[in-house]
Amino acid sequence: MDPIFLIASAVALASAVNMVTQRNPVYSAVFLLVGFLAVAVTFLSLSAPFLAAIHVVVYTGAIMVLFLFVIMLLNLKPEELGAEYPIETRAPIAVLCAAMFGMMSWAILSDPSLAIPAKAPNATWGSVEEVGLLLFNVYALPFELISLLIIVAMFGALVLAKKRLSNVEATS
Amino acid sequence: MVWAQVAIYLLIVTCLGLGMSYTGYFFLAPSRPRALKQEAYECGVPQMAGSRERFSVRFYLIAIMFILFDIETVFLIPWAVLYKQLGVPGLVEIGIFFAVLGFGLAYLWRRGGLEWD
Repeated sequence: MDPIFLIASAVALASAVNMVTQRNPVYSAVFLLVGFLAVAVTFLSLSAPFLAAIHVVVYTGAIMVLFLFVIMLLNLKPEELGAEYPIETRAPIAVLCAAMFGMMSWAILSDPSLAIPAKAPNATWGSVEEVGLLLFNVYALPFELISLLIIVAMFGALVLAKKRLSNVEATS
Repeated sequence: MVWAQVAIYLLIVTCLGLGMSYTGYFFLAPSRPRALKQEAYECGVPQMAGSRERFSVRFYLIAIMFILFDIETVFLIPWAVLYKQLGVPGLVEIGIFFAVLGFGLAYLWRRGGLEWD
């Protein structure tokens, strides 16, 4: 297997484990950042450079800002974090998560289409041009629907974050 | 294998940087801590308050809007790369996309979503 893929996925897994085990949410956010970057490197090694770039721009750039804002809004001081959950609570959750992970891995690994080795993609596969051609020809309608999705998110944020919306009649 | 070269380069750079910093920190620098030295640097003046300020929820709206228009820009990149190849149909597609989002921005503006009240 590609050594870069192995290193990047190991870094991603390690930072993911660190992210969920940190007590301080800001440290968790930093580990999430490292994880996002490592996942972007795995995308690169899987010959998806456009996806890797988008992942860095949207996830490590924008989504991380959002997470940090939420942490800043809550403003948890170390003394406000509260007591650690007892092991009786944590153990069943860990077992459930492990079971879910096992089921997912089993479902993926037992997929017969994975037994056939994937043929090597050609050089331009996953480039901006290839993705763009698919996006604007085959997936033109889903692409247009994305704008509606973004607009709904915009209005949702407006309604949730604004205490008092100015009335259209009042301003005009 | 260009990525292997990048990875080796990154590894060397990381080791070099960390090695230099830690060598300086542990072996060269005199350690004379003072209360003022331990503070976070704030334009060279003594700290007024803790850095852990609670942010106003208004910043959250700005952050959400940033993400949404960030995603919008991301979809602009493949269109810009394929501008000549796609021609008029591509222009129409991206036009509809931007018209919908422009309507969203106009609505947001009109309802005072961009005001800092």
